[in-house]
Amino acid sequence: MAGCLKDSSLLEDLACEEGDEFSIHGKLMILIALFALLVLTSSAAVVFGAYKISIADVYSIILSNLLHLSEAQNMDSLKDIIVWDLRLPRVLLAITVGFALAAAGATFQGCFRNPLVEPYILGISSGAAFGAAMGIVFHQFFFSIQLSAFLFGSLAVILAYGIARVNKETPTITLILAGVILGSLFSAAVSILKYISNDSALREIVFWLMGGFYFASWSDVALVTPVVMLSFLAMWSLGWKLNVLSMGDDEARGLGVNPEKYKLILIGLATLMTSIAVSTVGIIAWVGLMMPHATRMILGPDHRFVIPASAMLGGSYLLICDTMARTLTSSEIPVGIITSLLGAPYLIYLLRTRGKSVFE
Amino acid sequence: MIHVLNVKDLQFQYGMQPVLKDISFQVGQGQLCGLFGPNGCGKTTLFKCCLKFLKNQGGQIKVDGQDIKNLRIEEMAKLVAYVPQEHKPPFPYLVKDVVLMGRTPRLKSLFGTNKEDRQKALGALKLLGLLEIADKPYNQLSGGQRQLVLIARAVAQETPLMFLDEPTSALDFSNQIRIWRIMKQIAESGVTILACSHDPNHVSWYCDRVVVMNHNHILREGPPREVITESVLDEIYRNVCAVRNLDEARMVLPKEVARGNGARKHNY
Amino acid sequence: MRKAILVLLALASILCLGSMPAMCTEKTITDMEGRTVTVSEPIERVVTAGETKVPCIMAALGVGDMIVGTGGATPKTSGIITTTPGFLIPAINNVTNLGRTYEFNVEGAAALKPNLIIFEADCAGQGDSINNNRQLIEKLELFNKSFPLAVLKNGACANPPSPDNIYREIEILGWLFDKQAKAKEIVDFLKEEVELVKQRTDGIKEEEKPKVLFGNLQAWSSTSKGSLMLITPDYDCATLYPGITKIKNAYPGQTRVSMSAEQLLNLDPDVIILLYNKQEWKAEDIRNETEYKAIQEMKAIKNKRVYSTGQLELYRSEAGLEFPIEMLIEAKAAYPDRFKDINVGEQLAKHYKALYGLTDEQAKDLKKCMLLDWMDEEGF
Repeated sequence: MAGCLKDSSLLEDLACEEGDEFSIHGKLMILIALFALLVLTSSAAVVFGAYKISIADVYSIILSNLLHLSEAQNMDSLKDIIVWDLRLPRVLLAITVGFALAAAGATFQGCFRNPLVEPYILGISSGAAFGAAMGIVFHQFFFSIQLSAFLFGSLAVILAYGIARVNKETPTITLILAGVILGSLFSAAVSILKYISNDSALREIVFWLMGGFYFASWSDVALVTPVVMLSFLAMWSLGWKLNVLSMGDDEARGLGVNPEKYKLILIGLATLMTSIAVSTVGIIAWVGLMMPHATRMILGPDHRFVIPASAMLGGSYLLICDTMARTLTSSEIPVGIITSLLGAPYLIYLLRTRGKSVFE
Repeated sequence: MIHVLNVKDLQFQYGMQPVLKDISFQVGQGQLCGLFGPNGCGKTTLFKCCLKFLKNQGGQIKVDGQDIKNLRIEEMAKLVAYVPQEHKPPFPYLVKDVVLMGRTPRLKSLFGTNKEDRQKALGALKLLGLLEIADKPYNQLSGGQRQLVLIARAVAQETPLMFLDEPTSALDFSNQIRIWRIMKQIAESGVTILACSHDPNHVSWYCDRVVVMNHNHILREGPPREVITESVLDEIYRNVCAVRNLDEARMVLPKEVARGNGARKHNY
Repeated sequence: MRKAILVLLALASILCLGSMPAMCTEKTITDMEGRTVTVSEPIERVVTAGETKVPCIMAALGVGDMIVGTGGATPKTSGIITTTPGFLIPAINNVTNLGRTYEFNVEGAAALKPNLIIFEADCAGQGDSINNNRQLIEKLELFNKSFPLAVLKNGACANPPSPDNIYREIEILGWLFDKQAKAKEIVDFLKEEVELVKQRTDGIKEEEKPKVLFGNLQAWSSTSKGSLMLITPDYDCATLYPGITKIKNAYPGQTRVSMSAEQLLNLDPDVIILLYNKQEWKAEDIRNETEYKAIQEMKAIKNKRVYSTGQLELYRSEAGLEFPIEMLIEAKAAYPDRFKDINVGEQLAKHYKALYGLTDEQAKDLKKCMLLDWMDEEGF
């Protein structure tokens, strides 16, 4: 007898004609602009590099490779290799990783109702570092460093979840604390591994931790891109529910969004994206923290817009940083250094001008 | 009288600790029912059981004729709206967006709201007099305004039943009265309301029905003039309250104030 | 008439041969990774990656000026000549530094338009990892059509480590640059020096071997916390060829550790060989400085059996072809009686002059650069 609704003429009496109060026009425009920015940045990035290749050559190489044209033209095979095998996979990987970290960061911030959360908060980075270190030091037992990093990164989150789950509920604070504990545990284990390793293994561990796109290849792109894109689409479709979740567990339940179920799904998706990114390129900080912030300050906190916008902004940003990393000096600078150096002043600026509206 | 909320022999315990014993009451359609009792009597737990936030160990709860035991969360949300105490969330959603969230259980598409949803949200804003501040960030409002926004959201949810958890605790006097007036208006339009309160005056002035709880069970229930009496209040708050009639209304006062120690005497 | 045609034909063919591009000649060799490397003459621009023995060998072969870019042969801070190749080929300090193996700028290397890339893999514990080596080789192999890649391996890559690898490296490089005769000279000279050590250490039994400790004195920031020395195990920065030098490492572990005074006293070595890094300490420091007071009672220090291999070991990658001298220093330090008649300082001067064609003055300067001038001061 849900017929009670019929008796309530309250809303019918008062239902207003919608003006443009809920217009999302402006926000859509911004999304399109960000997409344009992404396309522009990637078009520019392929052109830069130590080896001087003209813009026309770059694009004709890309075109001929895409269309599988034979190398009938006097396409210098050297240029072809540089553009198609060195630069392009690196550009695509940088975009995808930036995408993953930023979108995951936005999701974690929404799930934990805390804008100061990084995607590494549940111990993913320490777990992945541990996995990579194990793979490096005990390379005879571990099939692949990347796989090991991925497994242990995800394991850290699963463990954190298991520790925090009591009576079918996972309170946020407990989850974060569990993540912090596991993070320090894995970090200690990494220190032990560093201690017992010989010099070259030690160097490799340190290098892995710094993060970078040095040896990006098409197989990396082929692995990371589908995983990240599918997870991103799934995440984006849950944007409205994430809005509701970010108001509070009980309120979400009252509005018909099961907090346990959706937190699990969203954290799972975000963990998957982050793990695959970290296991491929190491630990790159700041992108996951900053991009959602910047987006929220432009677009407001609606996750249906924040998630895709952060992703695109993250992709562009990381691409810019990586392009600088490989062109500024004759040898390469670790990209994590650039993301931090560029990011910190920007965040300080945002904090001082618009911080109040975000944190109050 | 159609009973929109029907609670029968409700039992609940936290581990070994019994919190609710043999709770039974009904609320009719369009009634504004107050849930009154001292701290720790089990009001919040009863609330949460009725909203299905907690699982009761015994008894039956029926909303709009349906046993809620087998209802999914999404279905519950179409029957019952929950208004928590106002709070400050971390993200600066705009007021109109918060109210729009109330349409969540009825959303047809994956990506967002349709025209009907938006119109109803605007309607709810208008009812609560919030149209002027519809574009402001929710966390920049005052406490009273925030509470009103949460009520608007519940109104937009279009449910037959609405639960409010101590909606006036953190507000100033004029805002408290404003909230009760609006609740009365909503109830008169046919929506059934159950509101927790620990202010005996508010429930006695505005509620059609009061359920008084003490020590995990129901003490009395019925219309306020039968329930908010000195004897009932004495059982809960020993020797604190006096009840006086004032023209058409009743007033619950501290005993010493009623006797006029330091205050003017009232006439019967 | 026929004669004229024949002469014309002869002239034409000579002209043809003369004007044919010099790229016509190609040669093929198998590198140390088992890959077939095809190089077209002439080679004018070379990029080296990996460790720095290759620039040194090229300097010895007289082709050092062909290097247009290197990874790791020069220190990151320019202006300071502290590597052997930097000394031998001054121009190398100004060429593009492409970075160590794990950060090698492949595109930058391609931009230099080289005819040949030589990558030397180091397998001692201090080298870059096998994983990084493999990744770099994969990336470089993409450019096979434009410039060939030759992969070399140094002595540590054999199991057990053996200088035969280095001889092979020199051979390959000699063949690549058409300097086979000079390469043979170099190899013979080195073999002679190694033979010297082998002969003198022949027949030493296990019980006779003294305990030799290899380590690096720590800076004040560490000694103030109690860590006095950084100790290195075999193969890492200690002796690379214990089979030849017959050295017994006082430290039995596998990884580098820093040790406090107590731990050092416990080890109680007979001989200490100091590895220097960039700071210029002298062996006397360990005798005189108050920071090391705690260990000055050790018999090695009291008996003045403290020596040094300069920069030859801690930064073996920057040391060049001086591995026989390294062996000589270690062997004489451990068995001074057997090497009483050999003055290592003089031998080193001889070595520098023979291999790199340096004058007396230059040899002295290079010794100073490598922090090996203590040998002349002490008559070692």
